[in-house]
Amino acid sequence: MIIDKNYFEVFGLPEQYSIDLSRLKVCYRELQKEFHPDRYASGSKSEIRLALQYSTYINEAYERLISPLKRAEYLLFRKGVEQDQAKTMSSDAGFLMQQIAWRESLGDVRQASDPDAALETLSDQISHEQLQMQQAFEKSYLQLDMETALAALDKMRFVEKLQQEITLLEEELIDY
Amino acid sequence: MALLNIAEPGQTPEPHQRKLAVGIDLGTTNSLVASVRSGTAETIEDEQGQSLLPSVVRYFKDGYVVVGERALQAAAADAGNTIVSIKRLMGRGIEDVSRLAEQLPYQFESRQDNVPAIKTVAGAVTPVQVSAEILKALAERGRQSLGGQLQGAVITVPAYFDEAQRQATKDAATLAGVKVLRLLNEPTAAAVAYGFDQQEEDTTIAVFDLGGGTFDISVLRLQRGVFEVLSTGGDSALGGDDFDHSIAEWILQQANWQGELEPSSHRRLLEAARQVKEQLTESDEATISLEDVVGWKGTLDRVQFYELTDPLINRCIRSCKRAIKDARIRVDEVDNAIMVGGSTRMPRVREKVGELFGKPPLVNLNPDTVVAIGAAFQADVLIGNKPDNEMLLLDVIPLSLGLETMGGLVEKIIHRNTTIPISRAQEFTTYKDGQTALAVHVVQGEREMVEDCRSLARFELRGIPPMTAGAARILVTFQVDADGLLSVSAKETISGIESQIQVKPSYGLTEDSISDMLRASFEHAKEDRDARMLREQQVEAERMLEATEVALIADGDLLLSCDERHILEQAMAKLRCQHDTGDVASIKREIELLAQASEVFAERRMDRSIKKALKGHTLDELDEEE
Repeated sequence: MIIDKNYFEVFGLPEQYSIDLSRLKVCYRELQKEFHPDRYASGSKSEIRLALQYSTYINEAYERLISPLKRAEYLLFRKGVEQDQAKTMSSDAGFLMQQIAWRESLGDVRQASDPDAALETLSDQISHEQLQMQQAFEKSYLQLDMETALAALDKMRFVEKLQQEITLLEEELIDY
Repeated sequence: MALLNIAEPGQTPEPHQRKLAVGIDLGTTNSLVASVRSGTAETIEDEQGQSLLPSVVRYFKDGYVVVGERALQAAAADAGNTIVSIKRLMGRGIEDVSRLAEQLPYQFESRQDNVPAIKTVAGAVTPVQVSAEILKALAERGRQSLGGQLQGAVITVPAYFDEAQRQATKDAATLAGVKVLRLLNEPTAAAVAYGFDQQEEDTTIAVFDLGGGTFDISVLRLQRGVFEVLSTGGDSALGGDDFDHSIAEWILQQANWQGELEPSSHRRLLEAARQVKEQLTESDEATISLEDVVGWKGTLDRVQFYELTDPLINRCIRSCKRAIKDARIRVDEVDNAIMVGGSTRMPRVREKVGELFGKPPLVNLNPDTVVAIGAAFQADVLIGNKPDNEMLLLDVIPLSLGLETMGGLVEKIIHRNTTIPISRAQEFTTYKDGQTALAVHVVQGEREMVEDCRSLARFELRGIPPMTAGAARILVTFQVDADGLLSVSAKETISGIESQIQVKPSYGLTEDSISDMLRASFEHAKEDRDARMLREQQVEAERMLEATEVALIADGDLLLSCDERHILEQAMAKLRCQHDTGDVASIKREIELLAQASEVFAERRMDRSIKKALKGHTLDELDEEE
């Protein structure tokens, strides 16, 4: 049964950080075409129940794998690595300074002569860092260095939150 | 007796019989019903040749009900008993409604279940009951035109409708005796009507829906026959009526009118404003003569008209920009913009939308009927008339679902724009020693405080074994189905105590109150009701039998052992027997028994489909498994 498979198996993907995203998307759609409850709208009750269950599971699996952050979390979960988010906040002094600098830039955006451009520059910069963190995660994951992988994941979480704040600010600027 | 009814292998039972299904656009101002006949979808007209049914219901003293044009005509004369725009009240609690109440001519009655009920000469009626009357009228129109009992309907809802509003819509259908195949988002229906589902290449579509009283914008993506709603937005208090109001205000200014207007004069004024708006669609200038109303006549030209109405259109455009942002795309990635709703006939609206997207919007389908047409296509697919159709509509949840935590804060469990169906589990624990119950409060919305969100349900999980604080592990699971409807289950994982709750909105209807309403609505015709309930169960039984037979013919030999097949066939025979001779309860019981008996078979069939779905993509992995 599909719900007995892990999220990678659902889409026939190898269990690793770098995955073929276009293949994930294609397989996702093919599976939903087969199992979405709409396909069984005139089916028997048991088919309708199963379709809901399967389709839900496929959506869950897709959501976890399509996000670079959630995919990393899932890989560590699969390896049995405990992820206590409260406990592990980075002790990396350089990164702490970087965090403060980013926060300050974000705070300054509103006062900038061209807030949109300032926000875009900041967002690009962060996206670049994000990519490097993902690479760092993958490298230590492959080397089975889970402690370093966990530290990279922590940074990824922070940056994800920062990107969300940027999106909120972007929306605010549109309204304005 | 009916044991030998099983069709020969290779023969599908009743191969060419078309099933009757309709698409229903249940609108704020007008509603429509449409169906697919000989390949094309058409709206179904009434005897006078009208396809639009005004969404107006008038109640009379003896319980007699009139729906549509005739009710609309009485809206002014008998305002208290003639209900208009009921869609705005669907799924709303007493508190929401009391905020609106000042603008409404109705008297509300508060009831224990927190459902607002409108007092009429025929007694108090709830929004669900009023909507059910509209649905009944549409279903009856469909039944007469198609010449038989409807087997299902697709009903459209605004994409931003929350769970309570969707549930209320589904309840109204249940009450009207209409089987809902799917609640379909209106913009998705419009995109289906335009045939985007038939198209090979990937495409991104913006659906711009400016109706009489509401504005909705949705961004959809279609990839390989799968529709996804990427984002939705809009303004529930902005519509074509606001254009009329701003023209009316301008007229009052020109006329230097100070005092109040009689209701009848006010209607005349608004009517004149609407005519001006429509005239300016064709010509550059419109004349107004309202000497007998406000003592003024004059003209309004296009330039002035734009000055008056551009602020309204700009509000729409701002919502569009936000929706595009929410969809995480750039505006030039939108391949097509579709216009829906009568107000999009205004040239200025089309112009501004064209400017935003850098290409003229699609306007070749009637903006009034396009949603119903799309719903009809989807109904035809879902009822099984088009087994080869590959179309699939994936929807997202429009508003986040969350739980109340300490201090009145909301913890979001499922974020908005998550693709449904979806389920999410959250673990809770007790905060006092020996605590044996846990209160759960489910809310929907984007805000951080509980009081700013919509309360959906409160329930208590009882019977937790007494433990020290923080020791219990209570897993609460949210399941949202493909219609966007929520059910919640909770389980104490250490003791295994489990409770299953079907969430109904706090001010929604319980199953009991629905059946009470059903009973009440058929008080005068008990035989009718019994006959219909029996017929409904029989139709359900036929559906079940047919689905099982088709499955047996296709895969019975392959996937079932002789014994298994025998058990299944026995269950079918029993159901067939009850279908012919039994009562409602016994048919219902046999349906459930057959469902249980066919569970394993269904499971095997679906697991086999996985291979089909992944064919060509993951052959290696599949081979390994075999």
